[in-house]
Amino acid sequence: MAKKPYENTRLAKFLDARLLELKHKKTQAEIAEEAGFVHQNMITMIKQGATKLPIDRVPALAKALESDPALLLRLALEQSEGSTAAAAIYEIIGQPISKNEMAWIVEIREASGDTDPRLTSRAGAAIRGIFGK
Amino acid sequence: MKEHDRRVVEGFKLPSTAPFSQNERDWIDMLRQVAGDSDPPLTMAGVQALRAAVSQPRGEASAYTITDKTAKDRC
Repeated sequence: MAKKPYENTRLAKFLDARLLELKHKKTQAEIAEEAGFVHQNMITMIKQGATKLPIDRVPALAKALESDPALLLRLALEQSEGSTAAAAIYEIIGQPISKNEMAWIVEIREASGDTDPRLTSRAGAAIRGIFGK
Repeated sequence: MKEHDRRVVEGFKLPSTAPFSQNERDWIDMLRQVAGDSDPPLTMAGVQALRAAVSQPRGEASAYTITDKTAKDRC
């Protein structure tokens, strides 16, 4: 049986989920082509964890997956460098924030009048409630 | 575009682009924790929950300052 060193990475799971969600819109071959992969089976290999996503493919693959590149970059860095090394990179250059995450922050700033509110347990519970957690 | 060609329009503003604070990082970490890697968009339910959690009446100095008047209004 072939080795799958990246099988349990968050990126492999994320890709698997996105491919399922996009199944009605485009094929894996189309996604591979959009992302600039020469070999169409690269998507399958990344999804199964047989290989990792090259960092230079992040912008194009994010576009093909209709996902935020900041999220995919975080997952790719974690996959290729490991979470400890990724954390060191973020410490120096900052952590990529998705547009959706930025929208949440902008709303927090707007709603609080830019008072930099703490995340209270009550606020945390309200947010978790939205996601049914 | 020359500097004098730039017209300022009242009533519109760019979202705050200030650097992230530690508190904001805590918010993002919590959001990632509860939503996994789904990168959730801000929905109406999210806006309502955030406003209930952090909003302050216009003119108030702090999100956690409730004057006697506003406290009475809320009762």
